[in-house]
Amino acid sequence: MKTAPKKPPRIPSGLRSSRAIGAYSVIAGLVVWQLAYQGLAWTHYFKDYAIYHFLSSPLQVMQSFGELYQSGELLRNSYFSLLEFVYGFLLAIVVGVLIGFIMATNKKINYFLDPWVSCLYATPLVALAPVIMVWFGLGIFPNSLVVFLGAVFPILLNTYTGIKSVRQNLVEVIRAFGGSSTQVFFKVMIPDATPAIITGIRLAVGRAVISVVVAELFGAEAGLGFMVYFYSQRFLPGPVFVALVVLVVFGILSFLALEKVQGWLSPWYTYQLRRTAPGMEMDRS
Amino acid sequence: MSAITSIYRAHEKKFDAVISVILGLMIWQLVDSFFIRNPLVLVGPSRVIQSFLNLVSRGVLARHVYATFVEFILGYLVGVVIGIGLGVAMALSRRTREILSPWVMIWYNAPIILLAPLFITAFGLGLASKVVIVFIAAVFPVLFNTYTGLTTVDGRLVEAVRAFGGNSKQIFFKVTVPGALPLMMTGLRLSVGRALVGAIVSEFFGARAGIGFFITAASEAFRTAEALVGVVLLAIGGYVTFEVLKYAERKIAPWYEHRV
Repeated sequence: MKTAPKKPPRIPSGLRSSRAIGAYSVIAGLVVWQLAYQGLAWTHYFKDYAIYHFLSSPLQVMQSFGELYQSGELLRNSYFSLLEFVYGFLLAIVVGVLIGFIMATNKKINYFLDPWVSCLYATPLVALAPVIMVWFGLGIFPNSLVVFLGAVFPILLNTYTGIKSVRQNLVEVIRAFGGSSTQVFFKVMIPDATPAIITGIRLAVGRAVISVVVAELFGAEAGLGFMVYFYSQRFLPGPVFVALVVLVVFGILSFLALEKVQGWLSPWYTYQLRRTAPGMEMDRS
Repeated sequence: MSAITSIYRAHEKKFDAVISVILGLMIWQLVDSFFIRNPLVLVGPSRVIQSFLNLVSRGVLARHVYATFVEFILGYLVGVVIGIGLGVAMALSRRTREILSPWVMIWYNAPIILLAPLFITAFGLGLASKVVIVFIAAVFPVLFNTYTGLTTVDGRLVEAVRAFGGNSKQIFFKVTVPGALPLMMTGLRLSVGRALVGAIVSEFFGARAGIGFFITAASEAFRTAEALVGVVLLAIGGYVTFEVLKYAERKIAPWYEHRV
């Protein structure tokens, strides 16, 4: 914000970098959480209000992580959730990019599809999950469908915007040097739209994770959402937090992976992303 | 004839939208009445409208819409206020930013919905548990966009104000805040979707009223038409809020070039 010249840091050690302070903050937060839980456990509120039915402590979460991992439950459930995520998400990428591209290049189709797309985009489509369970039953397919519905619209709209905002002067340069329309497509449109498409995919990851979980909460025989539902019905909060931690790690890792992919596909764009703090995504949709 | 075509040409987009919606509904209705006649599987628009009218005449719907609306608005407003507050704090103070940013990143990526059963155990079936979930869902997009908006202000504008002798207070109120407004509005708009999802899904787990509750109750009884009434209501609500905020964005920051 201010353009004043930066002072060199007085203690140029890694211990005072912002990354280190972030790490301290996380550790301090976990310690406070644990201490608060221990403190509560001393008071009679803990028993009177049955706090242990919905609150867990970091140590307990680690313990139930160990138990779930040992019994193989965690891996099995994560595997099913991942499967549903991957099926639904890949379909969403293919369909979203395709339809987004068609809408951006064909005015008539755009006019016809636009009311449907903008209405469906604004609808919280997870609300369809119970209805989809009625239609298709339990299993991987209906859950993947919920994921698909959750993920497809951000990808579609960002593809649309990406293709629409392809810089016309680049197209004109290719044309002026006698490039064919295939060349315009592959050399200009696709590369110039890639950052927007990947932004759409990044936005879609969050929505897709929520969709997986919600779909499984409703009807599933396995999956992280199922695990959460199973244990929260038994008033065991530990596994719920385990699932949450797994999904947070998945979310952050996929975010970083997509950032890498973006840097690799469109390196000229990454310098703009550097300006935001790492992992802090802005939804500019 | 040519008059009609010229009117059509002038408002091609609107006409096409209307035609497309009507066509879509007609196809849906035709498939329902001639191909798949199982009311469990497919419910045509006529049956959805019929059950909507039926529900309205029985006075069932208003209660559910009201419950969801209250949950949504309370959680959303608190989320907006705290989101903007924390966003400003993070933008202004480096230390706050360093301390908060890992937590914000974790909570932003966390599917908070998973905690809905726990919140319901903690705060009961009523309003409180849903408001908490809506709040957590709504706060982070606002926070991010406020922060990003305040920190990515055009440096040239800051320099211009400074060159003409503006002090840092003037820079903040005349450049930074107006520059951040469009992104803040975008954050508000994005939060709406997340907050609605939070409200609906937490009602799925345990509630006494609300659209989400209504949808699950209907689909568990295999009354698909009623469940779709709930979904359509949500679609209308989401769309209207979205458009209102988009309009507000255009009014507040007309210079900002909108994407999507």
